[in-house]
Amino acid sequence: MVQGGGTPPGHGERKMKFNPLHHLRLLGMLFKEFKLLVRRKKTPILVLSLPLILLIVYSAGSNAITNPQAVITVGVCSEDPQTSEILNMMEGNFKLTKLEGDDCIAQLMTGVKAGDYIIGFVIPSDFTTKLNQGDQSMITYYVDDSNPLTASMSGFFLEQGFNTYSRGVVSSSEQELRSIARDTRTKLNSTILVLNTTYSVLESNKGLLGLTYPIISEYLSDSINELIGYDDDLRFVEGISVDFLTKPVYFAKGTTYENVNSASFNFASIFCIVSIFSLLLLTSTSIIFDKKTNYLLRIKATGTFIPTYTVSKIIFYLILSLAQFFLIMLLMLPQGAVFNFSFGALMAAFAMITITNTSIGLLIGSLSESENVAILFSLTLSLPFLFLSGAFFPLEFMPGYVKFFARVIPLHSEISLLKQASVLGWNLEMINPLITELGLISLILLGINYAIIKFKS
Amino acid sequence: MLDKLFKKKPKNYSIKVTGLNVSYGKKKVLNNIHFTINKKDVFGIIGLSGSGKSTLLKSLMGFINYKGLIDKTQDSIGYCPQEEAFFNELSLKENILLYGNMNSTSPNIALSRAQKLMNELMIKESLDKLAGELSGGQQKRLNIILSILHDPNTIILDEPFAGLDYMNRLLLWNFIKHLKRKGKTIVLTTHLLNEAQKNCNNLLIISKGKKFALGSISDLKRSLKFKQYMSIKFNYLSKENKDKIKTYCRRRNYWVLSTNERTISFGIPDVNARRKLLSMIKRLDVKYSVTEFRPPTLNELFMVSVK
Repeated sequence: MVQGGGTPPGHGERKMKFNPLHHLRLLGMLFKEFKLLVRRKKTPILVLSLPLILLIVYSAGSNAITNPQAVITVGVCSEDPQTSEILNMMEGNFKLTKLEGDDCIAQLMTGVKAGDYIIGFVIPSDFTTKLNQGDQSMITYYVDDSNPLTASMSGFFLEQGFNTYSRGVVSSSEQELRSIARDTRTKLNSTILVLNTTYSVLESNKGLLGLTYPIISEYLSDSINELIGYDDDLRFVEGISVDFLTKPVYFAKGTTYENVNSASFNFASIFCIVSIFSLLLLTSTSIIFDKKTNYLLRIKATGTFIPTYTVSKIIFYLILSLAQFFLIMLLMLPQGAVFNFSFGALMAAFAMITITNTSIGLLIGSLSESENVAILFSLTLSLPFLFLSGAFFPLEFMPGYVKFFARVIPLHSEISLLKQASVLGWNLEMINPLITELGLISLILLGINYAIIKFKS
Repeated sequence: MLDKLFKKKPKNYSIKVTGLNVSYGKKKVLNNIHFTINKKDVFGIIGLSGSGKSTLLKSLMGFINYKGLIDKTQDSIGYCPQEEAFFNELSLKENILLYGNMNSTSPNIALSRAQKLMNELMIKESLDKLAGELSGGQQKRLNIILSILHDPNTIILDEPFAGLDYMNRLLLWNFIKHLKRKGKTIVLTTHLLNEAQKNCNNLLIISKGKKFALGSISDLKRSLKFKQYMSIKFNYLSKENKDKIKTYCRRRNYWVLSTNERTISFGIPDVNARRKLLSMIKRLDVKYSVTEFRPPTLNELFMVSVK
């Protein structure tokens, strides 16, 4: 019996037995997949560009972890006049700015918070004196704790920068110790010789002791003095601490922001990343759904203003995101997150972040012709955004072009905005610059989206 | 006196199109189209696939950019797209409320209108049923209902009969007649020439983006250069003779509507032309018989339009 699909093309009249596993079935299906892939130009472009973009960002990020790819700006307050050697030694790896004045530490903190200096450190007045005495000296450093990853990497790079100096200190101490030991042994030997000679003289001139006493007394007195000198040297050796030998310079991290920890700042990164991922995917595919169900056509047919449609989407995703926002906030509390906010500023920041992400998603949806393309498009944007957010790689140590892109993408501004509003307690007026920036981005994206829906969809 | 001077004369048309041109990139899809749709008309737009019918409707709705003038005197227009435009996962009631809202119709009015329309279009299903659970014909009718919830004066239907069986088409034509009786203007596109001929007051035939003919059936027939349709059956017709007949017709502007092995159909202006054509065929010394001689149908007009 011959059934449909059993006769392969090109075999003329010859009838073949029905074979559900015939290789032509598979070939036909594969042929269709590849043909459609080629016809839908956006799919192969996105499939290829996603790994390419990720590779560039990932390699720049992973290199930055082991070796800074950018100049590290450092602010220094030195209360010790004898530290020029240290600072000169650091010049090669860091761009140093020496701060002076009574309010030096305050200037340093402000500079760190403003991002003028990635690291700020304070050299105390007794820094070199302590080192000279064989005591461990301490340097206090300040980093922008609102960026936990960069902050921890900064401490590491600062210690690395001091390695040469510390090794020099340890090396010179080692030489000093050796020289003390050598001198002490030489002096001890000569003292032993003197004492032996004195003893021999005493033995051979037992009867004449009265006459020789002044000479013997002088010898003994000199020897006692020399022994006291050895004791001083040995006391120095005794006084050297293990800490000094292993780590002559100790780095203490100063507090840049009071009463907050990294979990507080991580909340901002986590929410913004979750928001961009979910909103890009949800919004873009919802536009495709609306196109497929002819909802957009109905909107136009009923004379509904297209911005009304956009606003309805934004309100819907604001409500959805609000649930996510409070859930993440709640989950961060057991991690020790401390929040400090004015309610108005927090809500304004949340709304602006959601509106921006929804606008990006709407535009992706308008530009995509299918769910597949919309999902790929969303991932091609959100994955590099994720790597450039600063939550996975320290942005400050990345090459200039990566830093530029990181600054341009909205996610960076979104995270900064939420940190300001949720942890630093900034009010509406203070967060206004970032609100305006994101507002402008959203307006542009919504404008383009409007034009596409009106004239193309 | 002043009242009379400033009082605008009411327009008796629903839509007036003047010099309509639409291009997709470099391709001209509609070329200098003019027509007027009178109030309370059932206006049919006919053309082959790709002739520009849907583009014309999209222009009327303002969905696409066009050059020319489209004057719509009635604000309230209901547009029903060819594909189903509702949500399968929503119930009938939810869809009705959604599209009622989108047309600024209050929920109660939208629901009562929908119930009435559902009765007229024989959808006897619960409002709580999901739209996706309706049959294909019911979905097509629901699509129309959702487009006219706001009780528009002009209703534009894009291929409303596509994919419908005879019973469903009959139901829909009756509904369109009912709407016309209620004073509505209906604009529709269709491929069903015979049904359009029967039910439309005015027809616009477009071919390759251009207006081919416009008017009532009788107007169309009058406006055409051929007023009579003649079909001749030959016992045998050589290729040479066939070519001679075609050349003769071309010289005299007679239409050769169709040819096959033994039959040729002609579109000719009058009885005199019939006499001349038959005497020419006689000279060819071939045996033949006239099988049909009558006024042309819409199908024949349409065939001419697409040639």
